[in-house]
Amino acid sequence: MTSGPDDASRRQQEPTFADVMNGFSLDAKRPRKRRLWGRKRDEEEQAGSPAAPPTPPPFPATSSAHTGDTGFAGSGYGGYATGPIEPVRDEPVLPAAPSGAAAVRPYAWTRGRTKSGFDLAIETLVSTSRQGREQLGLLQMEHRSVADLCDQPRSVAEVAALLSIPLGVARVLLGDMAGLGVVTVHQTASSTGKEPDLALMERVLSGLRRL
Amino acid sequence: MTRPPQPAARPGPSPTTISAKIVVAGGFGVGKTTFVGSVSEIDPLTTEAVMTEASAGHDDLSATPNKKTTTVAMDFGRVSLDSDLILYLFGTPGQHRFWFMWDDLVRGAIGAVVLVDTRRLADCFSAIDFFEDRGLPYVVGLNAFDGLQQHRVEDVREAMSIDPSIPIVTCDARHRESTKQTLIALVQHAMAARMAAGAR
Ligand SMILES: Nc1nc2c(ncn2[C@@H]2O[C@H](COP(=O)(O)OP(=O)(O)OP(=O)(O)O)[C@@H](O)[C@H]2O)c(=O)[nH]1
Ligand SMILES: [Mg+2]
Repeated sequence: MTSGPDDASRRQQEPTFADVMNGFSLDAKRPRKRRLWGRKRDEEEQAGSPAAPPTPPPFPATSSAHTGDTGFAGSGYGGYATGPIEPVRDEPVLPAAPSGAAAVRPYAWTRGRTKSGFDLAIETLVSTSRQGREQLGLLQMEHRSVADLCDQPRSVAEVAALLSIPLGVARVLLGDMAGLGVVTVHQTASSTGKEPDLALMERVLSGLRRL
Repeated sequence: MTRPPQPAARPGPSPTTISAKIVVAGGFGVGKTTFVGSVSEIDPLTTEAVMTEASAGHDDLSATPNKKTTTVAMDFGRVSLDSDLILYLFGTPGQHRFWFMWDDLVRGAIGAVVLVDTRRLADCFSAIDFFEDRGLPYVVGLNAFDGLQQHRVEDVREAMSIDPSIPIVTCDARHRESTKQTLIALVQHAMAARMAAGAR
């Protein structure tokens, strides 16, 4: 009475969908070592606040919540709703400027890849290249939306937010476009090393003071 | 040998514009979005990631037989600091259970502002632990919900056992100037930490 076959099958699908998205946005980037920092505090907090339920609320229909507000939803997610996504080694990027159909074939956005050869942090700026602007009319729909948006430099996070797509999807999409030469990937403060360098921090500081 | 004309290898608008990132953390409802919004040149945007809780590596979660999926939203703002320099401010999700997502937020950041509501000190512990564990420079911003008095700062440091080297500043997340000063304190602290590390 409480659950029918529909529920059961949907429940099976959702984790799969989530695994995919998770892989895009998180697991692919997870460092090898996992820390259990903060466990003590977490336990303290839980002990101290009985109001906080130890188990999360039932999972809402995240997939439809997501697909509901994005224009690309159907074609985008359908392609990898089933089957495991293999973490793919960094493929060599596609040759720049393939002509005609090769460039515009309406692929599923990502062809199942979970990452591109580009290191895209959430704050990494991308902007439409000259080639991208010249080929605007030839681009597949999703790429065109991004190219329009990135007429001025935008961060990966902005692209995701403004197109209402999850971060992980935006990352792969932008990686593809960078591989095609349609967008240029900019440097970030920490591109050259692990951490932002002093000169850059100095610039940020004086920029803030001028605000 | 004549150089070929510069190929169209680096086209596009201002391809030299670079970005930097600062993280804004703290407990639920402590004023993170307000803080970001007070200096951002755009209304804070929200971006979402979908994750399985089982990937958290949390004992209590891995005990759950069925993986559950959750959408985690974080909001962010943008501040153009120069014609070729854009600073992004990312607010962490308020819920503690999602701290593991912060790896992605934190990588390459200049540092973090941990906002604290003095009425709920314990809410920020997990954020502070995380930044200390990751070695990310941070400052503590006491968000003045109730007109905080300056002398309470050291009480708070004591109560939270925050190292004397960590700046604690009072702020009002609703005011641009206050937010700006808090960010300046953070960048100064991050630079000092870097120089100290280099001198060692
Ligand atoms: N009095 C006072 N109110 C504040 C201050 N900062 C934020 N608020 C208010 O506190 C409420 C919560 O602020 P938010 O910025 O949404 O907090 P948040 O940390 O983003 O919340 P979550 O994202 O839900 O964790 C809002 O109603 C703000 O207007 C402050 O410095 N003083
Ligand atoms: Mg918020």
